[in-house]
Amino acid sequence: MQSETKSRVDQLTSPAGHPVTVLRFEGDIASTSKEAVLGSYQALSKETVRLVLLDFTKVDYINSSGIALVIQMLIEASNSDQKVYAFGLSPHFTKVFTMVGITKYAGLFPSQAEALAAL
Amino acid sequence: MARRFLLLFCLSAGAGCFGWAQTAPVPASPAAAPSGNTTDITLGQSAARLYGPWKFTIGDSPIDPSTHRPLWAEPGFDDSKWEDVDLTPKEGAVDPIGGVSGYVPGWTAKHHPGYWGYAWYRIRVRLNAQPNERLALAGPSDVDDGYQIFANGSLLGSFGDFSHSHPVVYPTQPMMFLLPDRAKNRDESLVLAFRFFMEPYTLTQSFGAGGLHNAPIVGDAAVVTSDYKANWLELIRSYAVDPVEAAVFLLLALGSFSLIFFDRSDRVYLWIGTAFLVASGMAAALTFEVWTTAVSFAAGTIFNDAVLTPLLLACWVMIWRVWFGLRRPVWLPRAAAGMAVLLGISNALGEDVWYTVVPHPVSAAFHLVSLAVRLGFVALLLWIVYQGIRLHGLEGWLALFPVVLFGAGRFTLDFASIGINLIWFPFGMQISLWNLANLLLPLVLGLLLLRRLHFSLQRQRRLALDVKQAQEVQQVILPTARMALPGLEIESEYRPAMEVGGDFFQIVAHPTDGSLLIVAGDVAGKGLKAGMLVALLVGAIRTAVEANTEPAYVLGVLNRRLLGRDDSQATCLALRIDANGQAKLVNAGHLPPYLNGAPLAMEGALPLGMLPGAAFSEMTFKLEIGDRLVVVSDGLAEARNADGQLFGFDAVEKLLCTRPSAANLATAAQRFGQQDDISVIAVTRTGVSDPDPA
Repeated sequence: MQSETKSRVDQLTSPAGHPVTVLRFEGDIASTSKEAVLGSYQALSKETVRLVLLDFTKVDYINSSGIALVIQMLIEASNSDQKVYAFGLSPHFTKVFTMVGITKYAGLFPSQAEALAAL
Repeated sequence: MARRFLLLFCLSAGAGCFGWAQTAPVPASPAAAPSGNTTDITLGQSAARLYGPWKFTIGDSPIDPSTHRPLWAEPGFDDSKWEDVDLTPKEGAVDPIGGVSGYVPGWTAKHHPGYWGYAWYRIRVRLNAQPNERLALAGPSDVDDGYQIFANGSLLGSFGDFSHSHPVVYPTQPMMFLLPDRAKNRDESLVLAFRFFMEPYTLTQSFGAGGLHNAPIVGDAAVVTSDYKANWLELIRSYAVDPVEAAVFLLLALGSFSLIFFDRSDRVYLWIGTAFLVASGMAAALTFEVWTTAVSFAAGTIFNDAVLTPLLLACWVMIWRVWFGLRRPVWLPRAAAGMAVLLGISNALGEDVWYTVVPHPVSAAFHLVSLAVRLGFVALLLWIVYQGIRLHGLEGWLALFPVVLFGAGRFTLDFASIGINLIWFPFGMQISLWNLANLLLPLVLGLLLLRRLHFSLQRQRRLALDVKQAQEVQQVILPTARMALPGLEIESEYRPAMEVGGDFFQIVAHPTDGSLLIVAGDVAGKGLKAGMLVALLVGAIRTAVEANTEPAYVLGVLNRRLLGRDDSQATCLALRIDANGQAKLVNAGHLPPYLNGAPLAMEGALPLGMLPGAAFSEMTFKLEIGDRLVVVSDGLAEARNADGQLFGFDAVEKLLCTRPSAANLATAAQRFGQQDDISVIAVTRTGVSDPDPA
């Protein structure tokens, strides 16, 4: 049974003192998650938001449509010269993200602290 | 010797002996006792209706300073200048609203139109009863609104609460009062006095309102009790439709709400459920109001007319608007809500319920506003139905009649106040136009729902046929499960998660050089949409390989095919195995194949359809004799059990070490918990193929 995707936006500061916007996802990410994934990203200002963290800690499952949404978001971020890192993925989905070439657009980290430190 | 009871009712005006005992004797408790050869039969316990002559006046009595009792209740008070009133009903007369028999119009129909407030009735009787007989009086079973009853100046009881400065009254109910023993004294007349109070809003609710509408009964307590019980049965029967209606509407509401679980996209079930719930609440409230004194007349009127009625009208506007799919005008829901609020306020203030604080002219003005808003609601409903007829034909026509009845039903009491009766009493049960509309609306809605279900089933059958045909087409365009080519043995398994899958593969043997091209992929999503994209990709593969079997070329063609189509992405790999076992693999985000149980190490690459000119990952390797290469889709590793656990890559690798057949591999994942399409292609190199045996 697929659970609904929820998303939340947090503002943090990196150890280097840069403002960081964190998109935190929850539930399953699938074709129905367009608004939660792309919508929440597109609501961010391209001018002011330069560093974005994607939090997948509370995501249980991402299917092929969900992965396509994440890739679309990363391509958009790349075109806007935003730096995006992701963290909290399970080993399974870390492998899947690597296979579909997401690592070319976003660094993958086990935890928020490590992702923030890398920014 | 049995007792002989004789009860004579002699009216003080000298009308002589009369009464029910004479015209309609009630043989209650006849006793028979043998006495020698003779059987004595006792008759005579009886009661009589007090038709008159009554003395009547409007206004309220001054208090006697010596007794602190109302002067007009005193037996010695001179009422000779009061009006005479006769409560003898016309043959077959019944109360046009409540259905109580023996109805006579009240004071507003006799010289006092528009009067509300206090009024008094007096009657002088002489009772002749046996010393040990108990006498009682069954209060009038049809009154407006409440009363106190005095016997020779002493308060016997009341219907309604007269302890406040403004009495609290209830819809009329039968009452019974025991008379004092001295009433049996045949030498002394008994003066019965009724002090009535009628609220002003009763004027707006019935024609000929005011005071007594039928005659009280006085007589032997047992006989009066029988009449009292009969009156209660008559009242219960009159309103028996309402509790039934409340229960039926509650069930219909539950049924409608449960339909939401089957089709969350259609809000009409929510509106229908709400309308039925409100209708159930109205019928239940009316039942409590008429059968008990738990709800006062004023509270019941406010609850029904100022809260539930506006809500019900707004709900029906929304039901038909949603049913007929009227998106315009967009302000219609807001207009319905505004009208409902206005109707609630105008009903609350326009029925003289707050007569102590709201002056009557203000109330009358609000009553006119209420009338206008109700007419507005009817006009709105008819306009919606007209649009329904225009857009949907038959469905609109079916809705028209119940909507007209429903609209007219909201004016039942307005019609009654001008003497037009829209309430009937078949078998003694009150059926109003409102009841009929309330019964007809769910019937028509049920009919419309059945019609919709019929068309929906027809559509589903057509869709199911379409899906079955798509499934058949997909089976045709996918390769057979097992095939042997020179030097290679190929097994494949395809298990779509739904009727039509989003995984695809093609196996194309080169006609001359002995090479084999395998293209396998997974379209994002599943179901019919993904299946149609699969058909597009398979067609593109077939066309591309006619020109060039180079894996990178084929993926480039497929990428271009998918670009620019919304939500059309696919992971895909193309693998070319030459006759000598040399293999070239190009991958666009698909799972790398497993060679002898271990995944090939490849760089990641974006799926097809994401970027124009995307770079795919490439590798070459040699397939030796006996080597087994397995291409799988992500549906295998991403099978999930009921606890949400993934089958996982490790489990796939472990299984592959045992060299299972493609079918067994797919079955293992399917048993674990299939979520996505599963496809498996296993290629075993069995020997050296000869590209050109000639």
